[in-house]
Amino acid sequence: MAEISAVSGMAARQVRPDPTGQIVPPVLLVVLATATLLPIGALLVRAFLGKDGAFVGLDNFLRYGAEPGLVIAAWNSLSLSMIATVIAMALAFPFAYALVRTAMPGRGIFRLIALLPLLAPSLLPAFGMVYLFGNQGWLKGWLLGESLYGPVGIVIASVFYVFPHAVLILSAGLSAGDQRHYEAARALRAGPWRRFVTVTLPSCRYAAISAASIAFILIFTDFGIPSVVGGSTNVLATDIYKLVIGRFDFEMGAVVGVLLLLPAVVAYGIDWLARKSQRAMITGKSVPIRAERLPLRDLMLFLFATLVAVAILGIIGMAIFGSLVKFWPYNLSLGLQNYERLFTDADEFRALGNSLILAFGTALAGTGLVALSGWLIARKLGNGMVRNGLQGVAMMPVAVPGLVLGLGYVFFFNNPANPLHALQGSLALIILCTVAHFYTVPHLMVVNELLRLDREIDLAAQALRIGPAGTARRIHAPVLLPTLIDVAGYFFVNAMTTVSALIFLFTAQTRPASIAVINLVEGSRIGQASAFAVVIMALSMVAAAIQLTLRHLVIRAQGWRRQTA
Amino acid sequence: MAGLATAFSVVSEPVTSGAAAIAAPYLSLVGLTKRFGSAVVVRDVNLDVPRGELLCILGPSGCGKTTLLRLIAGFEAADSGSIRQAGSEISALPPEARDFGIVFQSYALFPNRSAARNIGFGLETLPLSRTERTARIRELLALVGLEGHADKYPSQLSGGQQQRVALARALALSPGLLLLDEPLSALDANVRASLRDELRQLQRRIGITSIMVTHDQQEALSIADRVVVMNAGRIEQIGTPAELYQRPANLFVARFLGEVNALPVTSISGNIVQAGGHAFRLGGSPVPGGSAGYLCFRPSAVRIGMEAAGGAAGTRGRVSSMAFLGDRLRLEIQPEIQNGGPFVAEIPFPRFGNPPGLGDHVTVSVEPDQLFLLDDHG
Amino acid sequence: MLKPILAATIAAFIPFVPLVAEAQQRTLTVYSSLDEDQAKALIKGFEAKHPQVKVNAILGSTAPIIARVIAEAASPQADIIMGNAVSALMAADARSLLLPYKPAHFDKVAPVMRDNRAEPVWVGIDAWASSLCFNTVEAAKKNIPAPKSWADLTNPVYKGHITMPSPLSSGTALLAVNGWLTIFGEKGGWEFMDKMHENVSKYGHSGSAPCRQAGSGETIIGISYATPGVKAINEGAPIQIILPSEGLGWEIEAAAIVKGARNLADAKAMADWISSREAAEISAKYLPITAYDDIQVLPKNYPADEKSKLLKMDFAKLASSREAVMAEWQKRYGVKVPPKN
Repeated sequence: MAEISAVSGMAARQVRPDPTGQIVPPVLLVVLATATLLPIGALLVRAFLGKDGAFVGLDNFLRYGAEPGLVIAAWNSLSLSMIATVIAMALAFPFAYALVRTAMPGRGIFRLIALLPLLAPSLLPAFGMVYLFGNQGWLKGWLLGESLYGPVGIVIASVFYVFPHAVLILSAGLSAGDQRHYEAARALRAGPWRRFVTVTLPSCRYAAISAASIAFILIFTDFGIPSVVGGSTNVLATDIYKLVIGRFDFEMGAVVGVLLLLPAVVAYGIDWLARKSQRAMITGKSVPIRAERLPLRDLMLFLFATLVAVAILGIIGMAIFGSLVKFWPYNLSLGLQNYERLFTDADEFRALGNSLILAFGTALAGTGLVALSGWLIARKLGNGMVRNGLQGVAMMPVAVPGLVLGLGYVFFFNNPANPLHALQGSLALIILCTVAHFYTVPHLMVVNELLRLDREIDLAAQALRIGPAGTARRIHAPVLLPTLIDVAGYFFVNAMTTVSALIFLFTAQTRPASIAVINLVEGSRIGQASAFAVVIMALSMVAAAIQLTLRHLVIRAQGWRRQTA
Repeated sequence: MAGLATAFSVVSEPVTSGAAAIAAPYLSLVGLTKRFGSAVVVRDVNLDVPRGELLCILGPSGCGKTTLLRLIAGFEAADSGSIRQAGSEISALPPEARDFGIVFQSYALFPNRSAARNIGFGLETLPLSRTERTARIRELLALVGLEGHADKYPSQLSGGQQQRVALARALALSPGLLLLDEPLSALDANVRASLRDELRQLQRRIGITSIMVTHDQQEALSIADRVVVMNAGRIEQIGTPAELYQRPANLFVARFLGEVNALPVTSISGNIVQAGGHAFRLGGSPVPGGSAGYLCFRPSAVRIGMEAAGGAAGTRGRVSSMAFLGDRLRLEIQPEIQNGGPFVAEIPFPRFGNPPGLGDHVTVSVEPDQLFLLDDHG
Repeated sequence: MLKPILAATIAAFIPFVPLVAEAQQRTLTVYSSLDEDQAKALIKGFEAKHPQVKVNAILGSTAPIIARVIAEAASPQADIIMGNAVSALMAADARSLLLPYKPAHFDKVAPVMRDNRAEPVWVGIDAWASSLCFNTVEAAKKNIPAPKSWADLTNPVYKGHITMPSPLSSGTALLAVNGWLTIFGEKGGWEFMDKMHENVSKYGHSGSAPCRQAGSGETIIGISYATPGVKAINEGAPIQIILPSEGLGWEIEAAAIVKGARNLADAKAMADWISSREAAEISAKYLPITAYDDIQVLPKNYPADEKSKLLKMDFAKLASSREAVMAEWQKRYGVKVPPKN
């Protein structure tokens, strides 16, 4: 063995202090609070103010409490969200399990299909469902005489809506296990079922709770589904719409906004507890999971996944079919007449361009912000209070209906007293609002990915005199890169389809395609609206394909991810 | 009698060997205290480490040993006290401004970098040419015996190989101090033993002052120049492995370092001690009588005779259980006196003749200088 | 990782910061709830007369447009509202968000189509009226007769086959309700709705949706207004637009200048243009009732007798009772689960 020598030039240790941990967290907190907390607060504070702006305590709450129908709306919201969450989880769990833990054939295709609902503007599946299960629907009999318009429709559409979210979170959780636990269980003669119950279920408990919480909150605060297929079934989210839009009663609308935050707070509490108990399950020394081959199980899951895939493709396929027929359901001859306007009308064409710019901008800005906030939280940089503040601000948007966020933006930014007033009417503000609207899930994706990296890695780097920023660039960024690609894709496709937060923000120059679809529906041009929605979905699919290709290339280029040389 | 006196005094001040006390210590901790909330995790620790020493901090989990190491590294800030390294006060410095290398139990290798680039991580910010850096990395790889593995990623290396990379990485900047946080705990038993020996040789060869935290007393005793035993945030004793083993300061240290028979003392007169129903004669000069405490001896200090014979300090007993340990026998002896407590003996497997059998009556004796008295502190 | 990300984040925003110094052309921001084609045609006509003004139009449903104007009160973004239900405009006026202005051709506008207060705030563009869309194919399948009057809708034969929007979120529904209260009186109106409620399968959010749903056979009778029905017929839907015999609740779509408009002069020019006969002739291609009584054009497939069936309505009273009607409606029908098919 060679003798050790000292390295020249090392005695003079010139350590530049790395201020990252001191400067970045507070700055980011201010930026994120400006994008989420302050605008939301600007609206929600009205729950405690009178029409003249004076403080009235809980008067608005009492006023809302006296409204007939509140109890029923609250009950509908709670019960339907719960039922839909349970069904979505029951479908998403085996689906995600089949994707990451089995040798089932066609896993890549199934994953793509599972994400389809994320790519389609929500009107598309709504039309698809009407064409399938509506009063003229081809499969109307499947509802056993129940009408689509009402609880049944809300539940089916909600399940469809949150299914990809649940699959995403669950498959991430299921892929992060420790193979040694399975080997230990096998050594203890545990059969496949027992291994599933004693190892798999506990190891993904956190992901399951997390997925269920997100699914519940998304359904609970969604306005679009109950308004299209809800019939006369009132829920809290549609109450906001009626109060704010119908009666211009922003104060009582704010009350509902506050009420909608409550279950989300409970869900976070559960999520937080689950996260605390999860810590010990996976460590830096874990051995990655290898999918086991169990032919019978794989066959059953394949059949199950096929069924789910057929359902998703059926609903979306029906909507595409609807955009191609002359007049549903009385003239089913096919044609492209609905697509013509898109490419002949300058305004509609520009809307598509706006959507692409919005989506790119949101993906770029959102990914940057999420990478920073997730990194600061997962790697515990800076002051603990600031970090808690960041986490709170990052977790808030998912619990806020888009309508509340959009109105909050108007109240907050469209105020001459606000130094950022100049942003009003700009695409930058729409991008910021969209980033804020979809912030929570990507933030969690980054945090969870970075938490899998041993904390001591940062200490080792520090001992080698590399500060947080240097470690981020050399270690965290390469590890995080595939996740960041997914995050960018998530922001992109959501920005392509988002509506509710933007109806108060778009201008003639910045009107995105998703709003154009709504305008077409309002103008009773259903065929053209479906055609436009199909085009949006197609663009999102292109983006998703680019995302998956990039991810694949990055992972292939990162040789260190392979287990053996 | 010096040994006994030491044994009875509760060590709160660091006991340093004569040689080290003369030269200025390389690392010196004075009155170091760390609280987490209301819990005092490190309590008024004073410790001097001479240059070139390999010091082990030994203690049960939760005793504060890892926190002490993290205080030295700067990952935690002390609530009070000072840390001096190579003559200058460092307790206010951030970790990146201190001069140490560290190896973790989890290896903490950068997963996206090959062995060579893990080792070279700290070198990248230095004004070195590519050739200089490559040469340095090659030198370090050779040092830990991983010449052929330069381009492998952590996921392609075994646990032992990963820990060697971590060690080389920690040494890359030629730090003045090497900190090792349970570096061997995650390894298989045979890898652990061989890496332990290698670590020791390497430390000797490059002469780097090293502090290793471990909960494994065998590891500590076999590798360290000196061992610090910690309990509940406090240093219980500091000494060479032999000192600690043979002259533990209290029952906690005695028990933590290995199995010990501790018989409650009923009376002492001169150098005859009544304990556990037996009378033992201590070596050396008489001690003041009447002290409460325990009379202790290691199982290996026990001599077994097959028939009655006047031993140094002896009694008669019956073999109540026995276990075969390869080259040695482990016996549990039930004394014949009433109220006599059982104790454990480990004897070499006799080369000639028959070993004692279960139920056999034997005589038991302990060499007087293998006996020590401890109070029941700890 | 930090610097590139920060740079990218900032770079992402830079292109979208509004360019203050635009071209020489002046801009005018118009909010409108008119039919999209009609709004675009009117704007085109205005721009032809004022080539130096570029109109930026934001189109949307009646209620969201007014909600947006109210929300933006701190710093108004719109210069003029070019077409919104008068009842909704009055809600904005009640909050002092509109600027009184008497457009150039105000006096030539039919008296009923203009704000006759001393300081007029709005001038009418067109009017729309409640009507029924009736799907003849589905009705034949179920052997259901076409209704002739509002009162017919209480007939149990229609149980589960009627949809209408909720007046809490649709101006169209509100004018239907106001029509019934006018026809049957305060007490009789609510009694009529109580009975009809037994037949209604769904109260939706969109005023045009019931006609679309009738067009696609999702429902047999949709309570809505004529325009979406006309469009559906033009596309090939088997529906018939029925104007019930008792008369139709109706409402005016009007223009009003927003108080605090940044381009006040051009906003006034737009109000002047909207009140002109020329503009009314454009609107007449989309709706038969315009601000000028003597323009008689009937859009294709539009029911001919709409104008003659309009009820005489007290708009001032209806505007002031808007909140009360909504609250009463919510109390009676916002809570109950509607009967199943």
